[in-house]
Amino acid sequence: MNNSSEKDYFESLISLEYTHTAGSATTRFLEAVAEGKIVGQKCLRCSAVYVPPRGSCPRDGVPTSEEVTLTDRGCVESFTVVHIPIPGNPIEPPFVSAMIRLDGANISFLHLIQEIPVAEIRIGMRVEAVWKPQEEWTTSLENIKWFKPTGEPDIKPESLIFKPK
Amino acid sequence: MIPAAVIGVGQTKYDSKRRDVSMPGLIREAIDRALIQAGVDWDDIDAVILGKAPDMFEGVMMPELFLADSIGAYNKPLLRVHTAGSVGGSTAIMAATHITSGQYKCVLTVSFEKQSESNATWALSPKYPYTPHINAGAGGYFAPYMREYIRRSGAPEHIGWQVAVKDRQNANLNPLAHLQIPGIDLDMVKSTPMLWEPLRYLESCPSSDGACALIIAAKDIAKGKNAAWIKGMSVRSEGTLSAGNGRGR
Amino acid sequence: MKRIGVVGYSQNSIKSDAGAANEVELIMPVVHEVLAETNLTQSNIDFTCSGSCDYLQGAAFAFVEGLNAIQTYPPIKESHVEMDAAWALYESYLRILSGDAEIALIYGFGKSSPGNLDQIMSLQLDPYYVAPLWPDRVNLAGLQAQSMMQAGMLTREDMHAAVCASAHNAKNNPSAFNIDPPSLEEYLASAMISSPLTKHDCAPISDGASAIIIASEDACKKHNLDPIWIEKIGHQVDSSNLGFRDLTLVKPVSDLMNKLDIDLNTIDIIETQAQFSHEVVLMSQIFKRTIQDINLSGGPLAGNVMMAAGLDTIGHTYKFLKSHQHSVALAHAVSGPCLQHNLLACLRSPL
Repeated sequence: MNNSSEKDYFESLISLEYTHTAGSATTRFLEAVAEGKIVGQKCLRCSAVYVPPRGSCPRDGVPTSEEVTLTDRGCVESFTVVHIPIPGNPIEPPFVSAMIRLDGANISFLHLIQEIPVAEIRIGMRVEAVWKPQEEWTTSLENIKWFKPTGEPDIKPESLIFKPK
Repeated sequence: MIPAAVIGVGQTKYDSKRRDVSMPGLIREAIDRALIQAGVDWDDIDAVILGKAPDMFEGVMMPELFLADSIGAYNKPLLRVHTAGSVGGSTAIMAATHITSGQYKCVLTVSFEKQSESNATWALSPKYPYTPHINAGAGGYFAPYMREYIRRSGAPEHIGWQVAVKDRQNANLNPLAHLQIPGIDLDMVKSTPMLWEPLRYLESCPSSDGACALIIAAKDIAKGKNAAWIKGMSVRSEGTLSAGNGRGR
Repeated sequence: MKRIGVVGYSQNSIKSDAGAANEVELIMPVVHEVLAETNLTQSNIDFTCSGSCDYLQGAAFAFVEGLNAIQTYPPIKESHVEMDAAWALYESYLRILSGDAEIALIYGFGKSSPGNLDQIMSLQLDPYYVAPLWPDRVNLAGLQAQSMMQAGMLTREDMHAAVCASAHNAKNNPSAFNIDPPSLEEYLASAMISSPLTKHDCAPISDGASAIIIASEDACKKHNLDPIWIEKIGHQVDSSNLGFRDLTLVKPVSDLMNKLDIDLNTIDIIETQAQFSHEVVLMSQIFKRTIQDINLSGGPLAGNVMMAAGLDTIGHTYKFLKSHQHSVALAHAVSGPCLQHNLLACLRSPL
């Protein structure tokens, strides 16, 4: 029945819709970022500051109840240059995806780095956020377009090691 | 620990797309080889333990249910383990625990992936509406950690390539291996395109379809057979977002 | 054989929509409550196992997020089943028997409200022959209900009685929904979703989480814990091919009762994870109880947290044995369409 040139499989697409919820901690974070502010949460047991916060400290298994306001400056904890396009995302490779450690935070989050030749990016480089124009802000970390170098001296990566209090 | 031994192993030919078999067919290729090597038959199997990482890799939720018949679990206990990337190991450990608990004498355990039936890159790039979508694939997530490790350990650039060459040279001796690259050497690996710096194409594992099955048995069944006794097992997990976790921070 | 007991249980108030609470925020309270109940800390727990479903949560590896709700430093001995947490309890039970652990924490969680549960459950089916037809979980349950009707085992009045019994019993369960059951006339007049099932016959969409701690006899003595013994436990799966089965039977349950030597005459309390009214009727026939005598917690018809409801049958029987004068209970957890995969646990009070 089938010609030998025909495919030996057929594709059946499944479509499922979900209403994702951010959770109270992330909601609080996104509401703040919609106003240009970055807030994290602190664990009262070990003093770790989490940003974006998830509501819990996985070291201690307790809710992180204390809110901490952070700046939009920090350093590059590590990074990679991505050469593979992301399905459904217009961003063109090669681009730099980095783990950004904001000042005062004890974990990092992924974001982009631009305004510097790729070969010059290094671990410990000081960066600051470049925001979209205020009228474009929504409840999303994408209000920050990317991070760019500040020109300050690099920090020592060893200073990022967590010391619980 | 109550003694437990692996008495049979079966693996499929691993390939990017095993379109010659369905999921049950793929798994049975491994299971049948394990049963034959172990010298046991279906009636000897007390329980089946299936290992399978995300359901989204095949688009079938809780696949142990539809696979129950084909993997010999009909009318028997059936468990399905999912610990993400470590699932092969945790499943084997869970299966061995069936024996070391003293409750079972001979179990079949099998882990598989048939990623060709879905889209693994899509499955590994969940797009939550409140997180910037800037990562695609497991490599993009791991590459920054590799870079940091290279920095603090001082590992030279070619070490990764050397490992890739060593593994693939071993693979050339294994007819079941997915990748067969005769003549692979450092220059070849170094010349392949960069995916997520510092990882190059030939330093990354491929996306493969395949299955591996073990028969694990207690002493009275393993006696007299070609048995590999399990001397110890261990698992550990940490929170992904924990401050100061094992990645050196 | 080493004795292992349930020493603590906590269940969230079941919600039809947990709103902005994500999985971490659902898991943390029940884990903290069950630890408080047992006076244990997370460092006393030497094995953790969870049950959840990626497709329910809408992302691969979604269960990994759940680990951020518990203490994972120093790194913990942990595993996960992509099944109801009743099976996570079984895995933990085997670990303790093998000497690999003394005290295990088990939790199950699920939010059914974000997605379309009926569609999601259809993905459990054979992807080559059955799933492309998209029968949903109510359609498949309807097939079993019809089989029972044709065999003279079930009437619509029986189904209505199961709905009322659940609503009535649930009033004593602070975690369950408050259900106002329809009168018989209203019930018989309500629209069928998939004959003979109406919306009243189906477990409601629920969000929540539950946690249980089990411990070896030695650990109970050492930490002053109050166990209800897990006297017998086992599970068995039936064929996935519905046409191959007699849907009026639940063969794995009958087989398990034989294998585990469970004498129904000695059982005081039974909780079954029956998610449809006809399943309640079927299980009460198999367990030789009246419909009203099964599921004193209200059962899934009064709140059905996917991936935790099976664990809840064990939790509820544990609570009943602790607070009543009964001595032996039976918990029945299920997975898969038409009661395909079944787990039975027989609990005994030491008193």
